[in-house]
Amino acid sequence: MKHEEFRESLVLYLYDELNDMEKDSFAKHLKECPSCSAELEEIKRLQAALGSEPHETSEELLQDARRQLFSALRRETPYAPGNRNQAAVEPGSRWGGWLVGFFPYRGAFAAIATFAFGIFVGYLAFSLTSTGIYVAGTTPVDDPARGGAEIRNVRFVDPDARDGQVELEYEILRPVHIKGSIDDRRIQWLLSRALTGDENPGVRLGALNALAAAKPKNPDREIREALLSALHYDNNPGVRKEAIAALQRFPFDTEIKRAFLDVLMHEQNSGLRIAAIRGLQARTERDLSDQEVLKVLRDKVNSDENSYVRIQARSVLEEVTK
Amino acid sequence: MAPDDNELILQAQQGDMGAFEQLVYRYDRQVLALAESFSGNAEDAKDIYQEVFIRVYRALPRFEFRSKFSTWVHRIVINSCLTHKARRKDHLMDSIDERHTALDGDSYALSDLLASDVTADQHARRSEMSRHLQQALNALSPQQKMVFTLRHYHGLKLREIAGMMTCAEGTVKKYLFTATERMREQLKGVYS
Repeated sequence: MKHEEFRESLVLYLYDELNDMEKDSFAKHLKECPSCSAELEEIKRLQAALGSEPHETSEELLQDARRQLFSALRRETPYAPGNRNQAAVEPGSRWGGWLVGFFPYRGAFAAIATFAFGIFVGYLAFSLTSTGIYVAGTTPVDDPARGGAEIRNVRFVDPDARDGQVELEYEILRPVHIKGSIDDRRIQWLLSRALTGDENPGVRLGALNALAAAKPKNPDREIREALLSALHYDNNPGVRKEAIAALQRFPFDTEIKRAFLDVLMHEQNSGLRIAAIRGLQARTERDLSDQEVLKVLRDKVNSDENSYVRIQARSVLEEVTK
Repeated sequence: MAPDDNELILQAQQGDMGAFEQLVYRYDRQVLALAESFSGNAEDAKDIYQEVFIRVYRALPRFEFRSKFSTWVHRIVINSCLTHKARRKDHLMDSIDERHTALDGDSYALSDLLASDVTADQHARRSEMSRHLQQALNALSPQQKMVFTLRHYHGLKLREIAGMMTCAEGTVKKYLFTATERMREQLKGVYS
């Protein structure tokens, strides 16, 4: 082997990428070649200067990335069960399937349903409603310029205009105005979709505030799922905090308890951990035997980095063990 | 016993999004670490992370188990890193002797930091220092940088890297050699 070839092996030698025979051969050359020996030492110093520890990602960054990912996944087309070719699925058929067991993706469906069926829901569902619902003037399909419609995805079916005609396809997105009772299922449906599917945190907070202020008499289960989804995956801490407050109006079941405990154990934002303690407080006062809650509270008393969280946890523990 | 990747993939392909979520959680820490060490900043790393899993999500229904899921994900990560357009390109070609201002107002150059008494590992842990070393890495071609990052910082063998980058092992060796040469050139006289 020539000197230049040995030189190219220097790096491979240092990274232990030579086989036994190559290593022996290189070691022999190294003894006889001061130039390669010097270069080897120099590359060792370079490697030391660069450090070799794998990059450690912070937990905060990871959680942030996850929130953004799940938020983005809401805009993706869901898989069709039993069909390996990904395709859009009619949302109504999904509620009885896997979606029921996986609430974060109800948000995904909410966004998709809103996007894919927005026009039809706008035209059909609301235009067929009666009391308390006002629908803005519809946009005639034969006059796309009217009614504030936004035209998207124009496609040429027949672009050849030599016969004086062209054929196009397009989608219409148009504003729909709606007013109705907070107990109306359609209003709740819209609010839950705004809560989980809207890009704007102000809109999500608005949906939460509407639900919190009006206190619907019969809150739909879908709202509860949307609130849990927001608590787990919304990237805005203000929205997550309001979700804790809104969830306290629902019957306190295992799922809500676990969601609050999850916040208390893993949330980076101390204000949210305190909100979770307060959310759990009412429950622990009524049921002192809930050891799962008490255990997490004790852990917080002993280990939370924030002194106010520790004080709050201790205060609740003292209250319930009086 | 926890289901293996293939079981989760089959469940996800049938529409079980809980299974998809488990797959994400199984690999996302590695994905983010690689994206961060390649890009050198958190914002680009998050962009790459999201792009990777959106691509995984879209392509999973067509995954046919011809390779291991982990290898497939790594391929997507590598591809996403190589094609990602960095948000911050302003510092790519800074010289090691160019002076920078630290948060405390002091000015310094990379050569000052590397030549001081503190060990290189300690330097590398400091964010400012990491930023400067990243500049030297950023001067490499994306392929050289990827091979160097995977081998030096993530400890993958060149054979594995070649599989993930779908190129010959000899090509990967060449990338590592050239990357090291260029790093030496970039940091010449500083570490010795």
